[in-house]
Amino acid sequence: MYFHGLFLLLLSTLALSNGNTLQGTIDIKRLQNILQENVKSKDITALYYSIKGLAELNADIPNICENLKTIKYDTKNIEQVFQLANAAAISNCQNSLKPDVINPATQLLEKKDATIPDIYHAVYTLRAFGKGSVYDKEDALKNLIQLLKKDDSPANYGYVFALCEHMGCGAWTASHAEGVLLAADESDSKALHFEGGLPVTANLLGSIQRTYKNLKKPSPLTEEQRYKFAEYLLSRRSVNTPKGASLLIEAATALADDVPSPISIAIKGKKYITSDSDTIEFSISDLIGRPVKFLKPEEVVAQSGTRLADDVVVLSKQPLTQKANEPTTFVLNLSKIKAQYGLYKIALSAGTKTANVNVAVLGEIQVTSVEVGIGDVDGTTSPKLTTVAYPNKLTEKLQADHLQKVTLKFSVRDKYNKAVLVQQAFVRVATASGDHETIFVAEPDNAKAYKVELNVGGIAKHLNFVSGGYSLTMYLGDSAVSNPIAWHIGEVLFNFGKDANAVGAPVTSAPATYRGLLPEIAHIFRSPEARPPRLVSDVFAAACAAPLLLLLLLWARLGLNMRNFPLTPSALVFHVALGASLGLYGVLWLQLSMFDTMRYLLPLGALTFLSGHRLLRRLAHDKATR
Amino acid sequence: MSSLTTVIPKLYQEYSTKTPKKLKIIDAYLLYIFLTAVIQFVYCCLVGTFPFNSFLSGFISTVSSFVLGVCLRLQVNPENKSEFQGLSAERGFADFIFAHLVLHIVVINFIG
Repeated sequence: MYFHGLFLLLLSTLALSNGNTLQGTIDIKRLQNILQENVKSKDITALYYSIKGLAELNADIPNICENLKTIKYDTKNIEQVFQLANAAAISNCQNSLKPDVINPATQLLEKKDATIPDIYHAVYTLRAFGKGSVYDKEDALKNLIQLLKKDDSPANYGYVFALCEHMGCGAWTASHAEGVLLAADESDSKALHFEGGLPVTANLLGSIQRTYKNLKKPSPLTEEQRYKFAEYLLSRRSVNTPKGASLLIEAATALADDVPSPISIAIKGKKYITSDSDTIEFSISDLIGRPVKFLKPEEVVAQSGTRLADDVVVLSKQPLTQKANEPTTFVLNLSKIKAQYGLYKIALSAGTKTANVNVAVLGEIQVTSVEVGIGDVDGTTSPKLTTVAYPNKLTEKLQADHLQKVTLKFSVRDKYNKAVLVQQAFVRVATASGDHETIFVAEPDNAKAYKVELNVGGIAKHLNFVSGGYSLTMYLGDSAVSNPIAWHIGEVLFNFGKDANAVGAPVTSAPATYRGLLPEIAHIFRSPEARPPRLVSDVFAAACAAPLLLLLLLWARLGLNMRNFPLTPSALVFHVALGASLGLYGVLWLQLSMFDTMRYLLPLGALTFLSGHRLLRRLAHDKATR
Repeated sequence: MSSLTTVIPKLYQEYSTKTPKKLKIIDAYLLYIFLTAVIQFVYCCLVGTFPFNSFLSGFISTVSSFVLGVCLRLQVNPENKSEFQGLSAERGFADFIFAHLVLHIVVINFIG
């Protein structure tokens, strides 16, 4: 089942690589459903676009006059006024609206600073009520051209082209359309769209197409532009809103109605053949899924078919048959190539257009038996061979030690019993629980016979040196094979010799990658070195203090005394402040921070300075006068 | 050898008689500082320098104090009066005090 899913996925990516055609169509039915769901919407925008889209499709429009009467909209928003008026016009409900609905439009046209979108909405509001002729052609066009000079965005051109349809200045549109088309943005050199996305693109494509049709001129779009715009619309085909659906319908219809319209060549249904069903259906249609105009059924031909694996041409100029009652469906019969499975590239042409399509021919493979042999690595003894037929299992458990090797030989055959190669041929060696497994690739020899050699000593490291029972499974698969094979061949008992671990013994594995928060990193201080014993420290502390005694002794011998100490406030303050400063240093050492210390020290220092200055000045003065 | 035995008492005598008392006081202070530095150094040689910053700040404190003391002695010495014209002994002492305050806030900060 798993193989099946994988290879279908592979097919779908390979299936189409196109030349100059589209690879899909826009599903008009789905868009129409979106519109029909929203046609009674309470939102004026959704309602308007639903009505407009349905009208574009010529579908039935329900009676919505009652809804329009009660719907809420903003009279200051000219766009919503426009949507209301036009929804009413399309559904013939003008009479159920009050005539003053169009007043905002009239007021807006009298203003001087109206923008192009405003003018467009206002004019088309009036037109919906049959009053469009208020607009004067010559001046109006000049005015619009002036406004375009200020802002020449594609969106504005779209509005002006639409206004021209109304005013009858189609010639001006015709002279400017090509330039505007050149201003479209290209993405991936594959798709073209206008700045502003789907609304602007739809508006421009629609108005240009209608204008040229009225003028009975061929469309200004080049073939490349048609395909690129169509690519863009295809990329937007999953729209879900009524606005998107309506705009997409407008643009897609404009492109599809414009002969020669882009055509789409795509595989319909399955992208592969088997021996039972050997035909592939293609759908060839225009952008919105209609039959291509002027395409004769005999012009649909498979020009060539090549096998991707070896580039062999397998078919050429094979015509397709049109399916009865389904004019867009063409059937290609591939019974000629169904015998050899593989991937094929088919160049399919419809008229002048060619698309390359990849299809798969699915074959069935079979493996009849496998030969399992156990022999010495050095080849001294002839190996013991056991043959197992598919889908049986080995009847006994084989045993092999680290001096032996296990050989598996088999050949893969297709339905016609011819030996073939497959993309994937593996042998899996796994423990019974499936915790440990190793997969070995089987290599084919020149005769397309597959062989796997399992050198028991050599594979030990892949199995963590765990001796014990292992299961052998063969896997065969190919992207073009409809029946991949997984065959459980049997059990083998491996003995890895003296390096071995017992089965079930804990196997040390690399630590799992750490996920989640890492532990916080804390700063680690240098660990203190060993300090001397307390006694030594104390002795030296005392020794450091000892010279102080000596100093005092010496000073005493010199006859130092306090007799001259001046008992003035400044002297006292100076000594106290100096002592306090030194005390503060002691506190800094023990607990304070530098900033706190500075806060205390600054006033203290100022006091010390002032008092000290005073004291010393007096001492100097005394000395001078003495 | 005999000259040395005669020179040293002579030198000492000269020093005790001719040196002003103020300078003797400063010299005693310098001797005290010097001995403290020596004892610290001996400790460091015998026991080790850990924690190094404490040893360093203590040692630097003594060395700098010694330098400052010598500076003060130079300024106060009457023989050097011509060198420090206009700078009184009191001014020198004020500088000495100020320099000590700045020095020791650094030392205390470094001692850890």
